[in-house]
Amino acid sequence: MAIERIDYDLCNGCGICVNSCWMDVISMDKKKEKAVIKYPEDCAVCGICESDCPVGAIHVSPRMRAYALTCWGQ
Amino acid sequence: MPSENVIEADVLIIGGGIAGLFAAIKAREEGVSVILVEKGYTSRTGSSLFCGGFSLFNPEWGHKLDEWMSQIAKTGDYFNNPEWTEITLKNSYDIYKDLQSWGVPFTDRDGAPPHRRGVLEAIRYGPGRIFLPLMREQAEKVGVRIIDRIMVTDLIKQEGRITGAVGFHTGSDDFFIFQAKATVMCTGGGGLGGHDPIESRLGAYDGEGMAYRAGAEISGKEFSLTGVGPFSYMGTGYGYYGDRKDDTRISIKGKEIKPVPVGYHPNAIDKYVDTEGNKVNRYTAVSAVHTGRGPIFLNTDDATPQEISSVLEEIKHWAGDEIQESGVDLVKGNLYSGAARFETYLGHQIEGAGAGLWSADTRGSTSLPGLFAAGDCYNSRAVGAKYPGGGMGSRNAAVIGAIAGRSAAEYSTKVGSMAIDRGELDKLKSNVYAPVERPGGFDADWVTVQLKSIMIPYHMWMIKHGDRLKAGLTLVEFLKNHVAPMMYARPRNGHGLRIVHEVKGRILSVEMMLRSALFRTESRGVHYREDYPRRDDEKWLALVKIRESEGKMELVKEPLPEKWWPDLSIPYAERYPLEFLGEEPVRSST
Repeated sequence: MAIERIDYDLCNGCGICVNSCWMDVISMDKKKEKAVIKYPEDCAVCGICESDCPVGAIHVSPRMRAYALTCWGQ
Repeated sequence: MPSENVIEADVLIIGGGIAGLFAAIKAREEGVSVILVEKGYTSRTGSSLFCGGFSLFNPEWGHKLDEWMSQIAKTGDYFNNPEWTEITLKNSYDIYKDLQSWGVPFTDRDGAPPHRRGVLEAIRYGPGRIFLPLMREQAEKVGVRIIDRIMVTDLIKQEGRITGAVGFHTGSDDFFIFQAKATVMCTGGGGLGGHDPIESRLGAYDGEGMAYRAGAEISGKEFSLTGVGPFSYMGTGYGYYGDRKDDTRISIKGKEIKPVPVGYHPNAIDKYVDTEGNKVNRYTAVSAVHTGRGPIFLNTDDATPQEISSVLEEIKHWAGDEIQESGVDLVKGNLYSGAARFETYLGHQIEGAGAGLWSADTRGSTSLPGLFAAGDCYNSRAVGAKYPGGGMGSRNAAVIGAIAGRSAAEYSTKVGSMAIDRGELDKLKSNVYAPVERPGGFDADWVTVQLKSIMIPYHMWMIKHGDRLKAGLTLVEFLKNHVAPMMYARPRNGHGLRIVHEVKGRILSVEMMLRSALFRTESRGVHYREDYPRRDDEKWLALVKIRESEGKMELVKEPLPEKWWPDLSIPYAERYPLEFLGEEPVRSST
């Protein structure tokens, strides 16, 4: 859920989505020259990356991501 | 340890939304050097991204200043600062022209260029993701230096004035030291969102927390805006519940019905009725359920099939799959499925004036020399104890941002730059990075959930009571004193660090809210105390200021200047036409 995937057949490596995300969820894989979802758990589902992507490569589900919460982590 | 960068400027702007961009552009136009730092990416950040309306006061359209002023004062239960209100109205046309000259498109409701809006009716210029890049472009054009992905954590105070700030880069983890002659805080408001920890991401009250720790006064916290919604996006103030009062045809039943007390929002649509047939809106729905008049129905009696389907489409757009999964039959109503699912959508402070740094004058000053502020983190009180109409938050952020930017530029020409003490820097740096160094700790998202579980139920912030506020405060103090200092950064870098510092800020801000709400023993605007269900003009024509005193939160009453008081000679019921739940006995006897 939330940001689900970036379609690598479509992604042209322009990097616009990296700046679109105010939660810093997306970054560039410099080797592959593609955008990668680095911190999916912090996606706030605002959808800006999806609407900013010029080639329609990003898929964001309107639902929040469900994941387990730990009280004390290490 | 991460590497250090020292950056000097005449004026430092913290935050890259509408207020910050206006402050930066106007300060730079005065000829001083300006740095703007932003936690996300300037033009892709904050609640500015989601705003759409612009409240343009335009005498050419027959707008009358008295009429607007009186409506804003009445809606806000006379708690606005009329001087700021007048400035924001009168300056709105210049700001509108500025934005137009930078290429920002404005439209009227019919999609045509703005031509005919009435009293307190906004024109459209959003969403922010369209116009913010144009503002960023203008800032860069005039020579503002923008540094993105910097989270500022602390202000520097030397010899009684603010001389800069420190923070870190969320990508490289580097430590940043900003030496500035004047600083403008434009960090926005905050919120706690719905049940999910992620829904709290937008708005972290960063600015008021760091200003408070530096000794600044904070005010208006008891009026932190609330909404209510059983579903993630319902009642957030954005989208669905926006300025859609044109839709009332769908909602009004074919017979005369008595409005429910506590009519909080003039723009609230009346699509909903309680089981007794009373109209309710997003605020009164809570009172209805609280007093056993739930559930709330979506009334479609007079609607055409097209109208129903357009409303349903909109609800589905905002509430997504949750509606379907919950099994709620929308056409029959039952949209609010009862108190069990009532959530307070905790104040996004979208008022652009409602709560935050104390406004010391009408130049964007705060209570600290060298520190200015604008936007949702600044309690200008351009609007009062209740948000009066669409498009005022962003308009006020722009107008006051421009003023604060100019004031900061002027101030910077009168003072010298001051090198920041090394010992102080080392102390701050070690505090900032402590959550990364910790081998383990409380998880920041888990802490957020605990905070939400205290604040989100309707009985804490929508319908307040002294006993419950005290209980909430006890738990929030525990989070602040015991849990927050043991949070760790996950991941162990600038990204994880940002979230930890945001959660710390939210806890502090919630403490300010609870203390202010307890302190104000009356009801006013969006502040409703079940145990004090009426405005108390004898005791409470006063504001609440918060400041740090010997490590403790101190609250003081600041009397409202008498020239801004309501006319006390007119009967209470006329002075305050909107009735609070439980106010009836005192109301009729006064």
